[in-house]
Amino acid sequence: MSRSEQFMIENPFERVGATDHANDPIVRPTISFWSDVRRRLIANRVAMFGLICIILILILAIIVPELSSYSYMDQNLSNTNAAPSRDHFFGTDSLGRDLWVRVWVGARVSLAVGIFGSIIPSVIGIVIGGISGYFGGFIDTIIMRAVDIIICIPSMIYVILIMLVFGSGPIPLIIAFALTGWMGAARDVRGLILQLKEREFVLASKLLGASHLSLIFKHLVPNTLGIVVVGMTMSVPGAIFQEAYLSFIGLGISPPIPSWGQLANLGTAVFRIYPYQLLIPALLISITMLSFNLFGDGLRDALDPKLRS
Amino acid sequence: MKETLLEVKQFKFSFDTYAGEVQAVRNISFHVKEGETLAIVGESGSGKSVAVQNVMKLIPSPPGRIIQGQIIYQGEDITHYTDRQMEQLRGKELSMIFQDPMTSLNPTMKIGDQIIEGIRNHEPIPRADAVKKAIKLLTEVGIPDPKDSLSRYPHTFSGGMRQRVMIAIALACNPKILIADEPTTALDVTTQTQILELMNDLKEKHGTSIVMITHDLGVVAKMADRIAVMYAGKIVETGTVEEIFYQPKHPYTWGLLQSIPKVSSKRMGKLETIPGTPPDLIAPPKGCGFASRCKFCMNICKEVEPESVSISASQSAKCWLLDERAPRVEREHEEVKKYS
Amino acid sequence: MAEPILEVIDLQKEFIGSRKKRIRAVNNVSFTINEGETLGVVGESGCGKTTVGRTIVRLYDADGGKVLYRGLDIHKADRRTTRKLAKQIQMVFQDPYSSLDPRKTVLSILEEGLKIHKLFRTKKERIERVYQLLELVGLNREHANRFPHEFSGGQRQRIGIARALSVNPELIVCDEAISALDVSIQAQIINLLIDLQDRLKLTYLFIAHDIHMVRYISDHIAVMYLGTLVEKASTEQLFKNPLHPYTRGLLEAIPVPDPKHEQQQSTLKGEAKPLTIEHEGCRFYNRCPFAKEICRDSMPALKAHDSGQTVACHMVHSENW
Repeated sequence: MSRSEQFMIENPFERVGATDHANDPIVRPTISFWSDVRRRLIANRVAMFGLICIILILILAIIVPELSSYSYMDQNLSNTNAAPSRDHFFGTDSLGRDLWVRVWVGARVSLAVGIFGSIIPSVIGIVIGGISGYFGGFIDTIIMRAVDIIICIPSMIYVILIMLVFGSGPIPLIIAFALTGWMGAARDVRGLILQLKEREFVLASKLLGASHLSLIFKHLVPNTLGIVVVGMTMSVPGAIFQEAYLSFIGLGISPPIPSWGQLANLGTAVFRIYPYQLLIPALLISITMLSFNLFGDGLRDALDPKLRS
Repeated sequence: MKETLLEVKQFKFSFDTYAGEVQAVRNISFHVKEGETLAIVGESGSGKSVAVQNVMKLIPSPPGRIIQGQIIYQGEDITHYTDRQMEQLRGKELSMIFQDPMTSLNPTMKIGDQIIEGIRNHEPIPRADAVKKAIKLLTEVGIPDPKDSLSRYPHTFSGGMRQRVMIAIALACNPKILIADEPTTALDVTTQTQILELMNDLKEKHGTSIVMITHDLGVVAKMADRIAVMYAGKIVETGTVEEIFYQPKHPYTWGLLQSIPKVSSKRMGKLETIPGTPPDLIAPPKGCGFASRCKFCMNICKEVEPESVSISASQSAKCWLLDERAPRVEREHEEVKKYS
Repeated sequence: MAEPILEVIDLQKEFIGSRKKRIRAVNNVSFTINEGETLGVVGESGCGKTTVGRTIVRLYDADGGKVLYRGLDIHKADRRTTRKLAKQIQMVFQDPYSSLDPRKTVLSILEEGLKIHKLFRTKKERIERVYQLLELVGLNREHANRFPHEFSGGQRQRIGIARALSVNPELIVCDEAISALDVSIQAQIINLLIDLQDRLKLTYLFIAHDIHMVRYISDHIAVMYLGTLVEKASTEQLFKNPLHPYTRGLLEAIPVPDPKHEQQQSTLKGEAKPLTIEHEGCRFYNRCPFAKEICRDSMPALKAHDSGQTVACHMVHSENW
């Protein structure tokens, strides 16, 4: 600023005193925790690529089966194992069913199992872990020892047992995942709550007379959500893969409902002659898992308080 | 005339954040001479730590960014030194101790090994000699049973002892400058006194220059030869310790001196304060950074930044009150006279 | 003579330290605070001052002794009384960064107490009260929709004070409420607290390690060392004539903000180390320049001294002091 400009000021040396400080403006824009996370997530290209892939797959899974003239069980024995063409983008299978439609109906099943199969156990884990960490002492010991024991037994054993009892299908699969998948989330949440419950803002609410439930679910759990959401996102590919694997070995989803694992299973039978019947579902499984992992990674970075500035 | 060891010239440093550029250091210059203690005083967020951490190149880039200026150590421009070049300087020429000794000591390493590692990084001497030197250092900083202490882990020491260990490590290679970033803030008062006394003794003995970052004027009075007062990323006043304590010229320095509780004051009741909060350096004010909190603020203060005005060979301040056209303002001298 | 609002009688609290050693964090501490007054509790880290504060607000249970609030034993109160006590005794915390929930706006932080105790019927009334609280502590209503991380340390501490005030308490325990702030901001907060005390007739228990800051706000000061109360006196008396060797050391150790002041070499050597429950003598024994045999063998009791303050030291009470 040049010296001459000072003469533009009226009475430059008149004393005006300090400003009223109750009205100190805050220069930075208001930004809530989650909008800050969103901002950083959007800035992360790799994570956004993952998210776009996930959204694209979801949209296709929703609209393709509705718009297509074929249904996933329409057989056409005169046109079996057709190669991909204008009529059948992904060709047809050994019963002449349109694979394009079957793949996207399968996507519905696989994604539903993947997403609900990780959200439901996480929610169970949050509740159990939250209670365990908050109350501590005897309750905590019992819950955590129980978790230790349950976690020792390979989850595949339960899943298979549950599938045998409830029959196969998407709902029994999600139940099976819910019963076997909550322990990890419970442990994470408990650990976080143990740290958080000594924080002064929690003590302050306690002193104001907040009840146990409101302390756990209004103050503690929301502050663990970030990490839990990352865990959830990262466990989606696991659930999708587990579904695919179970369906592939004949448990899980049973015909005629398709799922990616199912389709891959059927594809192996004719792999040598019609490799695309296996490769297409396999590729979709891989892309989806990769997308969820990339997105989850980005989410974790966006939530990391150390990177905050 | 003592040689100038370190000189920081017209230095500007910013952090890039989502909301924009935070101008943490806005054009500061200072120097450190051989064997003297320079205290940089200021509130949190004034940029005092950023200023010295830059000398040691401790701020990652991004988010940090040098906008302009030079850091000159013994005639050599080290502003854009690489990590490898800095390694030669760190520990050997320039050393640093921090507020929390626990975070700067490796918790899984015996303190003896940490000291010896520091020595051998710069001096290729046999391990046995390094051990001897480590024992000597620990004795010097007042650790009881220095020989046994070598094989102890940091967590077995108390806060004050840990800071002594940190000082021993920092002094291992006889650095010319010791940078102390709030070295006693985390310690109890009685321990603080001991550490400050130790630092003063070591300075006398080795002739090490000290750059001390602190917000505690009591500590400054005990340690410093010269003081630089920082506010909102700028050095608003600099001078010898006597000049700053007895003839301060900047209203912010006045405010700082007044807001410390007085030991011998008979008057009880309200403390003098500086109202308000420092400006957010994401949008630094156009004029003087202190204008909105200053009792003596004039129209011009809000619009035009004051130039540095020399008061004596060693003292200068940036304030429009020093302009001849400004009304004379007599600072309430009551507090300071008591001491002199 | 003002009524005592809080009486702490022989308070004890133990923690289990490393290797299952029992550490007595608070050892037979007794004091009284009168209505409308401020008691400052000073001491270095590990002296138990924070534990005392937290026991008084019922974050901890006492292992022995009583805390009486207007004659009522707060650790034996039933549920309904406890709820009522929550409105009467509040706390301001040390760390302005961790004491506010980062996910909540200032409005919802300040509204919480009002909701819990159903102090207002409508949301509109509650918001009005929050605005009023913000103005009371020197902030303004625009700040209500902001998040804690947008404020400076001093402003956050004001929000913490507003939260404590939201339920109209009578007693506020300030646990190192200014320690984490810059000097000029510390002075602002002290002035705010004094101002609020005058306007709202508050009683403070003011815990801090900086004895000079405490003096500005306290009517009486209690000095603690390793879990015990070593000296208790009116503020004036304590600064005029500190009796306990530890109090003297503490006062001497504070660096004087005057370069010409010739400071004595520190009289206190070493550092305070936590002692196990078996320790019998005076806790200050190993650092005390005046210690004699009796100090090692028996713990001195807190007794009134001729000069008007109470002090726990064998030497001070002996003939040839």
